[in-house]
Amino acid sequence: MKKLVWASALAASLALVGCHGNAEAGEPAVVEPGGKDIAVVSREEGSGTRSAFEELIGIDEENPVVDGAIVQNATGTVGNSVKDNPEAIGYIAFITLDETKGIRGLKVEGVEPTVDNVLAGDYPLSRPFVMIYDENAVTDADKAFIAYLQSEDGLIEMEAKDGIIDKTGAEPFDADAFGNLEGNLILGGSTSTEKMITHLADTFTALFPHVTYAYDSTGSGAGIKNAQDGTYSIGFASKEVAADEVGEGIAIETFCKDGIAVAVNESNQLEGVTIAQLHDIYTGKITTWDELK
Amino acid sequence: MVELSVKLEEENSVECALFLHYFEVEVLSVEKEMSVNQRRVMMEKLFHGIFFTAASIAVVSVALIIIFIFSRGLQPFFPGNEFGNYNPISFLTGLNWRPSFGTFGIGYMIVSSLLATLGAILLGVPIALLTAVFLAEVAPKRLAAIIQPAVELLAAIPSVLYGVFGFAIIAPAVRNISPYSTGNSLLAVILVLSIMILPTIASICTTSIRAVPGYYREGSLALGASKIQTIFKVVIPSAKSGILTAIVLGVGRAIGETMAVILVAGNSEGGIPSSIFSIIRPLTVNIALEMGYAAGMQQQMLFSTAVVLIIFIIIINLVLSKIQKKAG
Repeated sequence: MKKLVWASALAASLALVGCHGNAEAGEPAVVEPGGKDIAVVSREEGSGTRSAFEELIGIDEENPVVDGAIVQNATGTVGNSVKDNPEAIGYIAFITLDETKGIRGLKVEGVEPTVDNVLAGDYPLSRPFVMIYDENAVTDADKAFIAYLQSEDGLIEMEAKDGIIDKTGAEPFDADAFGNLEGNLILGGSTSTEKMITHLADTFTALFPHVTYAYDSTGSGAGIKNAQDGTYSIGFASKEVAADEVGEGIAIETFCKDGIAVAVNESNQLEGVTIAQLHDIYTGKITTWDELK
Repeated sequence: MVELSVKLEEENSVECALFLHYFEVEVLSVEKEMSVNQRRVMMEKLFHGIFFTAASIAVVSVALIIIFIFSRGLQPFFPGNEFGNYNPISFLTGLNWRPSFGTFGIGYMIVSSLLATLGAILLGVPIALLTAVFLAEVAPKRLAAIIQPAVELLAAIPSVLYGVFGFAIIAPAVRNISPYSTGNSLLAVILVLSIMILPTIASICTTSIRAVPGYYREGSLALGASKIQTIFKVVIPSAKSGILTAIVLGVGRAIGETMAVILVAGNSEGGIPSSIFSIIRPLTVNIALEMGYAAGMQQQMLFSTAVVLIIFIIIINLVLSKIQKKAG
């Protein structure tokens, strides 16, 4: 009796392992989208990816995310939700798209979600991260931090925070060239850049123990304004800043880009979506895959 | 002068020696005895203090947690809050949670939590009770020796692993039978929770069924009742208070569970669940999902959610102590 129980348990677990193995081998059953509704997967309120995505596709108070959307609080969980569900659509960081097997990035407005397309400015679900500072008012510590943001070391730290960067021509950061710095970096602006910039400021101040920093999370608009009137030594914005938006002697530099990939299950036959379609999917106006064909 | 004092000393030397002897024997020994007693008293007092401190840590922690959560969570409902005020009625009855647009309704989450708990109890309790009956009354010893540790092991599995199991196995399985395109649903939550509460309920039920005196069974069997009749008409009713305690503890676990639920609930941002296949957002999930990056009003409203959750837990504990008092 006991032997029988063990044998059947063993057989069952082998069968399970077997099934899993097949799925891993890269032959998922082709599911015809259209049979069921689209399973919309979103991030949680407060997530930077979510606020960027909603801003880019035009979610607002009159057109909120549909009640039936699944909410997951990590980009990896969104990726796995899409991997496990042939009807699902979700938005994730670019790096998650590469790391998760079984999902596919959709073309947005006909443009493939690749790092090159983001850097070229072609991919629409992308924003530049911009720093704004008064060239005549920056201190030595500010100058060093600006140089750090443009150095290879700085770019590597940005990449670790899901930033999309172009390392060509960037050189390693030479801390010795700045000597023994002192001072306080007064940073501020976009809420989307906060996590990345505070991370960079942490690694920067580790090199210069007498430099401290503060980041005032107020929004891109305030970042642009406060960098000009001297409230911030460096302001940050997560949108394009035109040269005529700022006064004389104010430098605007894009140091990194933010890209959001729209992922569907590998078995999904859809090629791409438009921004308008994404808006309608996330607000519940489009509910089936058939409407996207 | 010197001579005199020497003489005096000589004269008194005997008395002196006697006194010294007395002093050594009586006073010192008494003092020694006292010090042993005192040390004992001191030790008693010291340990009393240590025990008391240990016991107070629990009480102080509960008090601190409740004070902390209430003071943060009730702020939005009183005037003078730095992030503005919110109407408590629309908070408790609201059907949408949209922090970026200033809408904080948890009515649908309360419904979600209650439905998920109710479902888990309806599904989990019968299974747990039958498991307990099997273990305590029916199973041959050798079989019970396999099942009992398995049930106990189930209780020891970290809840996030239930979540992973639910995410990878239960939710996709539910999707296959669901009219909707996702398996994340009330049903998936109920299935995960009913497995999670199973060991708690089963082990307490087993203990309380085993505690039913043997002569109850003997009496019933002697009257001609079958074994099954004895179990359902005599043993289970006699173990009633233990079983109720188990159910209330199960309710507590189900309503408070977070990590396992967050992965299978779907965590909707609005709407009363209309079927068991609807996605839901229980109260615990709301807090865990957003606390990480929340600030300002959103963070305060998450504490307000915690206040509601704590009130639920307090009610459950009051019911529990009532049941236990009734049972004596």
